[in-house]
Order: sequence, then structure tokens, then C-alpha cells
Amino acid sequence: MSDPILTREERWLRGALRAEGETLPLRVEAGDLRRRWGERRRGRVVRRLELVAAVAAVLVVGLAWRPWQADRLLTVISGPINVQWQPPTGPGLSAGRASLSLSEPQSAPASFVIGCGWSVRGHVVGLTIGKQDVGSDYFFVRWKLALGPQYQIELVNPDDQTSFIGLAGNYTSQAAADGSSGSIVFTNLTLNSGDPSTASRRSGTFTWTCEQPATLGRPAPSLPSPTVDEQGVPALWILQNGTPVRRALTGCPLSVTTPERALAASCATTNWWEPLQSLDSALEVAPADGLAFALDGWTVTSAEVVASHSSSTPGSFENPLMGLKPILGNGEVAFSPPGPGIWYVHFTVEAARDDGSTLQADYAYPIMVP
Amino acid sequence: MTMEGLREHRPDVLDELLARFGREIQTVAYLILRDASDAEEVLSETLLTALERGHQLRDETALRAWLLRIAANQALGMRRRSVRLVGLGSLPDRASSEATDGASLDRAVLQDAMADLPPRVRAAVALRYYADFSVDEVAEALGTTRNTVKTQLRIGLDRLRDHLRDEDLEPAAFGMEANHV
Repeated sequence: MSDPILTREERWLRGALRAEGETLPLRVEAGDLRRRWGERRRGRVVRRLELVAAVAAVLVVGLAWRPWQADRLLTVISGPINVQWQPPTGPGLSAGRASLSLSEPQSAPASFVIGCGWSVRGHVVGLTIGKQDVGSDYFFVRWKLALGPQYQIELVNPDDQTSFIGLAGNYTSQAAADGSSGSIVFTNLTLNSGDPSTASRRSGTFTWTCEQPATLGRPAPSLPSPTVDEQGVPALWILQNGTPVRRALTGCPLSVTTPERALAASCATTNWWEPLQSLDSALEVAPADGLAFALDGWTVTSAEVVASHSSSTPGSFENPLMGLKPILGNGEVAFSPPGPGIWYVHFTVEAARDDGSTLQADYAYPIMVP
Repeated sequence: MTMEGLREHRPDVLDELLARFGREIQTVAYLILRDASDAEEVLSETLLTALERGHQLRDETALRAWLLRIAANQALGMRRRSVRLVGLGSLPDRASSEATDGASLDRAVLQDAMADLPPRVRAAVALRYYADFSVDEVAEALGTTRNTVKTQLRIGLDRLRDHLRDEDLEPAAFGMEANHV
């Protein structure tokens, strides 16, 4: 298909992407899909019953929780599982773990639902196997017998699921580099082979561990008030040579979730640079200045910083955006200054706090370089 | 025929969906995930999801875009889970960059550039330039604004140029203009 709107480079890219696609063999077979469809339909009723039972158990534990139980581990299980747990130690979200060993399943198919939760700083926080969330986003681990020389371990929440196949070995999974995830450790996972209807169900023990995330890292330095805007969105301060000098404008979309509240906003149709055009001043910086940004009390886990020159239509293909190469320092995030001229700078930020709060928001501010 | 099968959740419609759209779905997933077996899993999940929710679709002309949209979001979801929840440490299965013939060189440069992009940018690039979605369609598929998509596409093209330079290749050799800012 020829698209006259595409530039020469875009057409090259399209051709290269299509050539890339042609190199992939199409190995998925309709027969396998039909079989999975059948299994899925059969499993749906069972799954719903299990999830209802597990949610009920979570509610029971949640309702039973009291403030004096802060920093104690809550564990919710169903199925023939033995539980040992040790409470978190140290401040904040320091490590605590639950070790759950599975007793011998009696018959196939067998499945077990396991949930872990921690109480942290007065809030019940559902741990989502390495990622914590407040509220209904609660993951479960299901262990079940599957055909062939495999057992299947699934992470499941009511709307989504993914699977991991265990093949006679241990799993060790490390936290993501952004620090927002914890880890999941499957140890001593010894699996039998052969037909599960005739082979012994398992040998050895199967233990998995839910572990809380470590602290996220260095928080931002103390910044001038206000640290939140009129809507309660954390303010992004631009630092020039280490000194906070300007508060950026809050953009969209944004999503802020804390134990106390959740705030979300989608974008109107206006372009992000339009509010900047009406500002009567820009932050003046020298080419050698050190630039950074920070949000008070938050740890930035990812950032994209782009600038658009003000001399022509910002953000258009004729006036492309320039990446400013943010350097993540968690608390303070450095970024490189743009070249000479007036620039509209746009920040896309993801941040988190040790109490499980998360933030995704866009900010913008004009910068002038002589 | 297809729509009727989807509405009635008939498993035999999977054959037709796989034959008509399988390769495109798999490629979009691969361009986002950079892993062939994960892309196959996304293809399977996309078609099963389509069969499960096919009754929601009214217009057959929207079927392809709907499937690719599901695939892109499945791939992004899979990538999020694998990184943030349980990074199993699997490496993308990339071809060797040592190939020197023209087509392989294109492919190696493309792979390096794509691997360097954030997943959401990869998704925007895949839908815009591989699947021929308009910018508005990409924005709708990924639940974002057209300006964000434009930014993402620009970032993608910029990084591609950077890679050409890193490889000491002349951008013009690839039909690219050296207008990097």
C-alpha cells in the first residue's frame, strides 16, 4: 500500500518492518487454539468459584485486620497448603515473606489459590506478587496439574492472566530495575514427568515466596511549597544547578493513586504546548547549567523529557521534538539542556513512594537558552 | 461468515482468523516484545480473546483493526507483567548483527533501534508503520492522544537515525534525511 503522507524514511521503515515480519514462521496451529478454547471454557466455571472463595477469604482477613496488627503479614490461602510466615523487619516496606509449602495433591485436576497481603503504615496493601496495589487489583497464584511433563503456575487476577511453565527446576525471579517490584522465588520445585493420571503427582516439596519490595530508593530533596497543585497533583520542580527555580505546569493524562485517594484525568484536545505559549516568561539557562527535576517525596521510576523549538509549530513533523536524555537519579532526575533558543520542554514521568503510591503524569515548561 | 462465527463463539472461526490475520498479529506482537515465542503466545491469546468477545463487534470492516488493537495491548500487558512482576530474565531472540548483506544489515539496524525504544513507542511504531494505522487510530488503540503518538513516532525515527550513525552508516543510504536536531 502506498501512502503519500509518509516521508521517505517512514517508507523505508515500513518496508523494513514488513520484511522483519516475513522472517517469522507462523507456528501457531488452529487445532491448538481450538483445544485451548475448550480448556478455557471448562476451566472458567472452576476458576470463578476459586476466585470467589479467595476474594471472600481476603475480605475476611482484611476485615479482621486491626491497627495494632500493623506490619504483620496477612496470608490468605485455600487448598491443602501449609503456611509459615515471618513478619516484615525494619521500616517501611522492608522485606517480609510467606513461605507456603504445598502438600501432596490427591487427585487431578488439582488447583490451589494463594494470596498474600501486608499491612503497611496503617493500610492493608495487597501484594501482587512483586507489585503492590491498593484496592481490587489483587493477583493470585494458582498451581495446577497440566498434561505432559509439566506443571503450570499461573498468576491470575480477575481480568487478566499469564502463565509460567515449570520444568523440573527452580525459579528465581529478580525485582525490576525500577525498584517498584519485589521478587518471586520458586524454590525446590520438583516436578514429575509423564501422564499426570498415572504418574505420582509430585516429589519433594514446592515452596514459593511472596516478598515485599525493598524501599524504592532515594526520595526527592525537600522542595519549596507548594508541593502539590490546586488539584492535589504533586508539583514538578525544575532545578537549575541544584536549586529549585520553577514549578512546571501539570499536563495530561495523569493518574495519582495513594492509600488515601485516587486521582485521574484524561486529556482535552488542546496541544500540550499551548499553555506554555501564553506564559510571559521562560526559565533562562546557560548551556553549561546543570538541569534536573524532582517531585517532593517521590521517587521517579521512569522519565521521558522532550523539547520542541518555539519557532514553528511545536511537535509537528516539520519541527521534530528533541529528546533531552534524562538520567534517572531517583530523587533528582538530571536532563541535558537544549540548544540555543526558546524551547517547550515536556516531561512524562512515572513515580512511586514506599507506601505504594504511584504517579503517572505529564508536565511542561518553557526554557530559554541564549 | 466470520462475524457470525464470532457472535456464536464457534471454535471453527479460529481457523479463518488465523489464516487471514495470524501473520500480522504475530508481527505486531513481535515488534513490541522482540521475542518470537512471546509473540506466538500473544497471537494465540488475541484470537481466543476475539472469540470470547467477538459478539461485541458489529462491523466486519473493523475486524482487522480490532484484532491488532487487542494484540498490541496484549503485548504491552505481557511486557509490563514480565518486567514489573516477574522478570524471568529471558533475552529477546534477536538475529546476529554480524550479517553484512543489504537486507540483513537493514534488519540488524532495525532490530537494534527497535530494541532501544520504550515498549509504548514500539507499539506506536508497529501500528503506524507496519499495520498502516493512522495517527488517530494508533492513539485510539493505545488509549492515548494523537500528540503523544506523534511524539512517540518522532522518538522512534530519531533513535533509528542515531543507530545508523552509531553503525557508521550514512542515513541517506537508507533513504533517511539527516535532519536530526
